[in-house]
Order: sequence, then C-alpha cells, then structure tokens
Amino acid sequence: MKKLYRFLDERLGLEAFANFWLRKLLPPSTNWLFTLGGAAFFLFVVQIVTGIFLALYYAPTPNGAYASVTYIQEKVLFGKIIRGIHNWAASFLMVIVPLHLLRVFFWGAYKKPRELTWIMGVLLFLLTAAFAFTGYLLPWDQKGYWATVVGTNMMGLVPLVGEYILKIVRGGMELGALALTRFYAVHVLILPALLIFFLGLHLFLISKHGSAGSWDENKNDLSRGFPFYPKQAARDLVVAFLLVSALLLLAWRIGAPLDDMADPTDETYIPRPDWYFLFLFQMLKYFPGRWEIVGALVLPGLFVAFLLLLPFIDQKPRKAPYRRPLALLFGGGAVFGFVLLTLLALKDDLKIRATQAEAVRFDPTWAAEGERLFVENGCDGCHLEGGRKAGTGPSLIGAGRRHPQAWMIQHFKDPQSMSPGSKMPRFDYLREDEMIKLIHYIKSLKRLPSN
Amino acid sequence: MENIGRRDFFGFVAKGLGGLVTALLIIPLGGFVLSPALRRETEGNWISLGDADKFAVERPTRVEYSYEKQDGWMRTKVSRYAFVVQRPEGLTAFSPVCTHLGCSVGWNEEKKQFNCPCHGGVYDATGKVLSGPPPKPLTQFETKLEEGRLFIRVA
Repeated sequence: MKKLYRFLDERLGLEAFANFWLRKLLPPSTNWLFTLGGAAFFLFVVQIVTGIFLALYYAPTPNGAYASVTYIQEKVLFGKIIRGIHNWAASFLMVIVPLHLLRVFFWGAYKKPRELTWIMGVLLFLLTAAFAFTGYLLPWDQKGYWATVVGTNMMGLVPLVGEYILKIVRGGMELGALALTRFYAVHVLILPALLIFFLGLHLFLISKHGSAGSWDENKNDLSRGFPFYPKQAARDLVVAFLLVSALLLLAWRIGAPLDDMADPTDETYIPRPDWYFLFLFQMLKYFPGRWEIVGALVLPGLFVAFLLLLPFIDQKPRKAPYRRPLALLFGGGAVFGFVLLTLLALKDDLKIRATQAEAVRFDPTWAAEGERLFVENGCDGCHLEGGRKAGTGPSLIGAGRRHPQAWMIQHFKDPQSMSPGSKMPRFDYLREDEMIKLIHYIKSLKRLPSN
Repeated sequence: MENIGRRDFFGFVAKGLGGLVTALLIIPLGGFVLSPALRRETEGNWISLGDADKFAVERPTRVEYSYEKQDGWMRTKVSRYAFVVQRPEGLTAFSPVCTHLGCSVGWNEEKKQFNCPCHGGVYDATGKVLSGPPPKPLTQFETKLEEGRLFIRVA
C-alpha cells in the first residue's frame, strides 16, 4: 500500500496535492459556521449525482416529460426517493448558499485579497438560482409550466430586445417542445459545466488565500491554527451526514411535488413559484403598468450588481460588523425584505385558497351517487374505466379541477357550446343536482395505481 | 516591422488562427441558438368558435377551441380558450392571457370582472384594466363572421 502510494506520488504529486487541499492551516477561530461552504459543496455533489441518475429515465419532450417523471415516481425502484432528494436538495441549496454568502458578508471576508473568491461565490449563487429556475419546467406539470411562463415573460420586459430574448429563451413565442429541450440542455449540460468551472476556481482561491477566519485579526494567528484535515473535515462530514439524513427523510415522507400535466386552458390553477422565488413574485404585484420592469428586472439587477461590485465599493480593511454599520444595515435589510415579501405572498395566497376551497368543496357521498349516474347514463361507454381512461371521449382525471362548476354544467347541457367540435351528446335532460353529483364524482377521479 | 523575429511571427500566427477558428465556429453556433428569434412569424389560422348568435350579451362566454399546430419539431393539437362577449358594436373575442406576465385570467360573474390569479390584475368586461399591475387591456383576437359563424385568428 505504501509502495503504491509512493509510486503514485512520484508521478502525480499527491503530497503536493494533499498539502494544498488538506493540510492547509486554518486560523484557530475557525468554527462550525465555516462548514456552510462545505455544506453547499456537498449539496452540489448530491445534485449532480441524483441529476445524472434522473436523466437515465427522463425524456425531454412535452409528451414524454410528464409521463417519464410519473414513471420515475411510480415505477422505478427508489424513484420517489431519488427525485425527492433532488427536489429537496435544491431547496436546501437555496437556503445554504445564501447563508454562506451572508456569513462571508458579515465577516467582511470578501476584502482584499479575496475579492475574486467573493465574485466567484456570487456567480455560484446566481447559478444556483438558474438551476432552480430551469429545473422547474422539466416535469412539464402545471407548476413548472406556469412558473416558467411568468419567469420568461419577465425577461421579455427588457426594452427593445425583449421579444428576441423571449424567443431565444423559449425557442419561439410559446412555451412548447423547443423550450423544453432548451431548458433541459441548459439545466443538465451548460449550467453544470459553468458550475464546475466556477466552483473549481472558488475552491482553488479559498485554498490559495487560506480561510479568512475571524474579523478580529488577533484571533487569526496561523501558528496556533490547525490543518483542515481532520478536524474541520470531520465537522464538514457531520454536517453532510445531517443533510443527507434530512434529505432522505423528506424524500421518503413528503417526496417531490408533481402537479397535473401542464394545461394552458386551466384558469382555475393558481400559478405559484417555489417558496424561494415567492419574494420576487410578491414584489411584482407592487409595480403596476409600465413600472413592472422595475420590480422584474431593475431591482434584482441592481442587487446582483451590488453583490458583484461589493469588494470594490467597500475597500476599507476593517472587517468587524459593528464597525461597518452601513453593511450591517444593507445585509439586515436584504434579509428582512426577503422574509417580509415571502410572508406577504403566503398571506395573500391563504386568502385566495380560502375562497377557492369554498367554491370546490368536495362531498364524497355525492361522488358515490355520481358514480352510479355515470354508469346509468352510459358515460363510461366513451370515458373508459369509470372515466379514468380515454376511449371515444377523453380521460376525465383532473377535469373537475380544470373547469369551474358553471362551465361543467353548461358543458353537460350543450357540450359544443363550451368545446366546439366535441363529439359528446347533450345531457340536458339531467337535473342540476344530478349534474353536480357527476361533477363531484369526476373530481374524485385519480389515476389508477397500476396499469 | 523589419525586425520581426521568428517567435513574434509564430505568436502572431497562433493568435490570429486562434481568433479565426473561434470566429468560424461562432457564426454557425450563434445562428443555431438564435434561429427561433430570426424565423418569420406565420400568418396565423382562422379558427371557428361556432355559431355567432349563441353568445350572451355583455357577459363573456368561455369558449374552448383546439387546432393543429407546429410546435418545434412536432405537430401537436393544442387546446386554448377565448372569452367572447356580445356587445352593441358586435362580437369581441378576448385572449385569456394576462398582459402582465402571461397567466390565464378567469371571468368572475358575481363581480363582473376578469381576475388574474397570479399578481392580482383585474379587467372589466370590455378588457379594460381596473386594477393591479397589467400594463395593457386584454388582447382582442382579430375576428370575422362567415355564414353566421364566428372566426378568430390565432398565431
């Protein structure tokens, strides 16, 4: 073993490698807070591994995407777990990366000579958001579809060239097959390549300049420091263990959400982004008419520009947060704004959901009577397997959520008036309460567990 | 110029060729990516929404329609809907796409207004913005009547 190591060391320079990456001395003040970067690194690795595995089953076409993700969820051994981990690790990253950024910000660790380390870090933060945004669309479900409609429309607000940007991002005016392959290629090829490049540079610079340690230089005497391996490495792995346990638990107990398949005709669906983009979503409500570009592009753009330029805006060497009141105010303000906007968005949604729940209150006894009516009136002649499978008529799964009750009733009375070209006969002889029972039955329909 | 050394010369050739190789690849690659933005839009199709006399007066009716469409490399049947309202000056067909950021609006019969579920845009029955962030009224389809049937033009 020792011989083999010596053989490899002579040819690869393993000792120099270990000296640079593992035996680098850390300041004595290095503590658990310094594991945040390692945690983000670990989560990126988890994402790359689970992402590659998901790609073994995923098909990036409008017809294939939703079906293949459903297949992963329902048929593939541990499919729910792998997709769940990928989903939750994305959420974790949107917490850990900003926390790491805040830690570095408050510690003043972006100052000379670590300006580039900081800039690489900000770029990695933006990449994390870009990963989240492009990953959404891939299951081709309602949530992903609508979040992407709104998100890409925001890019369309750029003056003069907005429409071109929109077309380049979507591969056309509408969100379709070309948008999906583009988002897929960006998510699984382009962004990972950029991630590996910037992450490599970030890590190299961290090792080159060493950890910044405490803001109090008296506590950073390297002669009293300790090497990264094993003490800090052990801390990092404790964090990694906790993270992976939490990911497995969440993937197993909750899993990853999958809405109905994307449907542009569904006006009852309330489009919402994932929690980490809710603040942006809420902010858009406050900028009416031609001011929308301020909320959608100008403010986020200024924020990013500020982050990138921070090491040059603030060049004074003092690091302690209490001696940088302006920085403290800005950092605190950003966190406060994010939390406040997110809470406001959740509050607004509670209201909307309450009114919607009122409108679609579901009654299982009515659904049972509806099932009887469904068979008695021969509905299952065209909507097969109790309406769960398409025959002459379409499958009715999800139809109860897609259409408001008034629409459904009008559709029973005169199908062609609501969907021209429909082959469905009129059921205008049904009483209104019978129609409502049928609607309740249709709402109760779920995909068959096995097929 | 006269004292150009071998090294300088080779350096010049290497840089020049490097730039040329990059340029030669960038043009086709750039066109490949930008192609959807450079393609000309098609004229659009006229789609029938059915008999023109069935639409309610001053109350938008939701009408679904579907048509075959080229979606990138695949031909697909898309389902969409429009709101049609009978007004003294004739039939108007609205696109349900909110002019703010593209969510689908719904008609609220109680309040007589279109509501967008995303950022709270509100329009009246004529498509005019009542409140919220939308910058423009609801988009109206180009319409025509033929043999008592209403047609709209879709892209």
